Amino acid sequence: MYIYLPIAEISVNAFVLLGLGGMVGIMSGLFGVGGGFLMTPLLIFLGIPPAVSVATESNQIVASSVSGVLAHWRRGNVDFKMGGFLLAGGLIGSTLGVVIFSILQDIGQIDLMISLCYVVFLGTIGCLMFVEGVNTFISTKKGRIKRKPHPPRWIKAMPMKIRFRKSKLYISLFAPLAIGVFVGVLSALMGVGGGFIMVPAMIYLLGMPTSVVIGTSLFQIIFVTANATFFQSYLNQTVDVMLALLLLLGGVIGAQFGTRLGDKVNGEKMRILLAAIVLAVCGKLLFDLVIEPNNLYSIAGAK
Amino acid sequence: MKKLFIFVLLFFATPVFASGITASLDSHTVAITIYFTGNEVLLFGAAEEAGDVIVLVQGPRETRTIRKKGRAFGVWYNSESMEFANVPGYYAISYSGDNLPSLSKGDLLRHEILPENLNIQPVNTKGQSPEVVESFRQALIEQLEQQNSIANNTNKLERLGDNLFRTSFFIPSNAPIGTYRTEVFLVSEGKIISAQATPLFVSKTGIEAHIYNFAYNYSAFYGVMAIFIAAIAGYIANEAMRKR
Repeated sequence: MYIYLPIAEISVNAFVLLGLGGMVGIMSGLFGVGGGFLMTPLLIFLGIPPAVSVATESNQIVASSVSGVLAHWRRGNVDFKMGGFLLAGGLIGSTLGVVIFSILQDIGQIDLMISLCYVVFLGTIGCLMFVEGVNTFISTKKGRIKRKPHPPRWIKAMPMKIRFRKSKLYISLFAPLAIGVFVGVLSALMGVGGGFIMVPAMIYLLGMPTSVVIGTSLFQIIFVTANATFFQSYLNQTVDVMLALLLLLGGVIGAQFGTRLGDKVNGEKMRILLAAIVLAVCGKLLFDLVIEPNNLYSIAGAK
Repeated sequence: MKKLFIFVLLFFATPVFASGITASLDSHTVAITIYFTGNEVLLFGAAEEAGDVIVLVQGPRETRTIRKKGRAFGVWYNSESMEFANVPGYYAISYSGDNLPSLSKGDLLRHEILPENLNIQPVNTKGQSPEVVESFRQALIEQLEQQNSIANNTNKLERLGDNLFRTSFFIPSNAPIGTYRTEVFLVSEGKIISAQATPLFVSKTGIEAHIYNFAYNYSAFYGVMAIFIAAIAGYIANEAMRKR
């Protein structure tokens, strides 16, 4: 059954969208990631204009993050104070990101920027995850216990330290602000929640305990993606609510199955598998960038 | 002398187009609804005099930019571009047989018969040579043909008996909304002897039209609503998952 998407202005098969949402949902339930970094490239591969893919994905992530954060909040796993600073930075960052997005769209380089960002970040994170996953796998086998990571010296040296009771940290407020801004910009440009950068940043740069990390990250993501959704709608009119709803539907059902599946499988092996998938998507995007395109010409949208 | 003068005047007077050809469409509106994947519009008519028939359909005119990829540091990106004005959002031509009935170049250009004769002009040549501008122009027309925005006799005209003719053209799902002009020309001995035009209206209707208008005219509200819907959906999803 084909549905005409009002903002994307193309017809797509509704079942394909539901299936896509479901597949990414399963992955998010299984690995605890937002899935935006997989969904956005997949939407682009499907033929939906990149600008609409990015903006609509931000909208969909609001939904999945709300769903996720409620579960973590009930267990007391959200550090609202830290989350507040992260999201303050995130709001600044994502607004800035949407403005940069508009400028790039006008000069016709938005597709390139999106692809480059994805290649760089997916590549870096993918490699790091792979290495970390393999190391954990090896050290677990040998029975070694992992040391709790400490924030690097330059972060510890930042001024204006305050106490974050939930995370048991005494750290500069500029640290979460800066991380928030950085992730916010990327979030708006790439149509992701930013969790896959936020979570390692929280663990390794801030030294937050893992139990609080996911919930706090989701909390921040809700506001940052909501902000991006608002500005993408207001400035660029690129959010397709119909598309978001279809993806959402598949996503929440998929996440259910993913979570149940996740209880049954081995954690470390899954992390390595996720790293492999991330690297595969990165590889495809890189390939598309360097291979001579079939068609050197392309037409921009009508004015 | 007066009689000679009038005779000469009449000799040079432009011929009045008699109603030598008439045509109509099976439907004068194309409504883009939620299930729209494109629409085939049927055109039919009659030619009262002998001659060949050419059918033209043109959508609203737009300004389009064509981009060309180049390579830098191993990566392909959009390195050059040119903007063209007066580009039809949709263009279709239909005639019987493989060859267009012969017409003067002047007529072809005036009525924009055949995609190569479209009056597409660059907005700013950016100091590029005429050959480069022409290559961009050709590329633009080629791209439009590839995405089905230009149909160059893809559906040939059918002649039925002496007078009747019919053809159809496909309005794709990415066709622009607006008023389209359908023209039929009756051509004989290298000249257009009769013509008629009939309109076609392409518009969005139903819920997706409302969504589109809402997104563009009340953008801030739309943004807030999108967030709201997503948040509620997330909440409901969470509640549903809890019960299991």
